[in-house]
Amino acid sequence: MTFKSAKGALGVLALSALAGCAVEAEPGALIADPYENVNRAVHSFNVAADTVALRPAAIAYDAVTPALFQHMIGNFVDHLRLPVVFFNNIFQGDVDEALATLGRFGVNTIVGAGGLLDPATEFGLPYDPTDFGLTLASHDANEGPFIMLPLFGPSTGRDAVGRLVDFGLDPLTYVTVGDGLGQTLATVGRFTVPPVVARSENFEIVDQVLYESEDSYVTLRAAYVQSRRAQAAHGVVDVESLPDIFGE
Amino acid sequence: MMQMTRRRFALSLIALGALAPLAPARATDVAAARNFIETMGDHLIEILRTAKPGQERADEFLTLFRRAAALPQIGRFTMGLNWRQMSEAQQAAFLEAFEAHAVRSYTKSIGNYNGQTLVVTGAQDAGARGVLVSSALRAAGVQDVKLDWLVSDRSGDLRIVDVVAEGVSLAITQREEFAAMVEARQGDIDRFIADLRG
Repeated sequence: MTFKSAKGALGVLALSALAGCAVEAEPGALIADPYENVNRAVHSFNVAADTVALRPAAIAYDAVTPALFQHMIGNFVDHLRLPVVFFNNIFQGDVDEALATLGRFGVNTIVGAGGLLDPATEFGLPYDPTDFGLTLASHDANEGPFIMLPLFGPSTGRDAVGRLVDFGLDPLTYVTVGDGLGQTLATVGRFTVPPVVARSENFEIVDQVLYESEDSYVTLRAAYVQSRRAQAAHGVVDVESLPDIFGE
Repeated sequence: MMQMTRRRFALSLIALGALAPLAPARATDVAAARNFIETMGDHLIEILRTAKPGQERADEFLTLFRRAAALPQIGRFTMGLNWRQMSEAQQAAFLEAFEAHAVRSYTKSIGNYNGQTLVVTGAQDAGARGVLVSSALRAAGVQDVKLDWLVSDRSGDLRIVDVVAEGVSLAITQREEFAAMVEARQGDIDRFIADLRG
């Protein structure tokens, strides 16, 4: 299966080389945004979806779930991502990181109650996520234009391809849990729990960006693009990317 | 012959380099910048911790903010390409509105003190851009927030010129926001300034 996925990944790599062809950003702008009109419409839809569904769900989740359970659910959501993280560590040629991810998965599965607890962090194996968007970045694929995805939110040409590949890499895509109602619930849970948990964990900052900024689309775009570039650089600050306050 | 010229050229570059420290655009001192952020961080945490009444606290914050940040230069940067098209009167009006706007948004965002500490973790030379001082905002039970402070003395005094939170530069984000605000007002700078003033 790994083989098949890797092959698929290579195919998409080739595809993204075509799709993510370099788009020039306007002078002084952070990223090219040729689909701004469409993006803004999608963003309005996303904000509405947050207002009527995700935000209330996060509030309800926070209200009814004891802190300890929230902690464990948060751990479990991270735990389930580890296989995808592992594949991407490999694709990035980072053997040390891949072993750390494998170690973390083993420790937390066995002594962490199947991933509900996180003893691995104490053992020096903290959660260090990565994804196929970052894998593409590590192979110098073009970032592509800014794209606002329905429900998934801000992305770039490169990251959108990454999302698709990560979905394909995820063993959960191929595994069915139980049957009948149980299976339906597991599938629904897979797609609804992580966003609710993430919304709840970052409640204040998301509220600030979506509801208190002058132009939430622009703020979200600027924050997303910069934080993804920082992730791609592994926290190593590229001096050239810093603002040259006295330069212009 | 060619090589000789090139070497001589290289030598004169080195000679120029030796004189460079005399030039006004000399690099910001790394240790001084680090020290500056440590002192500023202590002061900031102190303001947060001593829960003084609202107005008094806001005033203290404003004083620190004015002393620590190179507001006119940051303001100018955030206008990007629009700056040069602005008249001097507009530039002055913008800088005034910018300060009001910055103070308003940051006073709002300084919340209650929850035992946070600011730990300076390193500093690196960023050339003409200044010195980047790295720090972590720590609090019990939550992950550290990585804060990088870009410090420069090119305004004459040591000042913060940007704050980068988890890779997101405040100055760049602000510049994107202002560009969009100007565009949304069909390039009407005066209206933008009036709206920024709030």
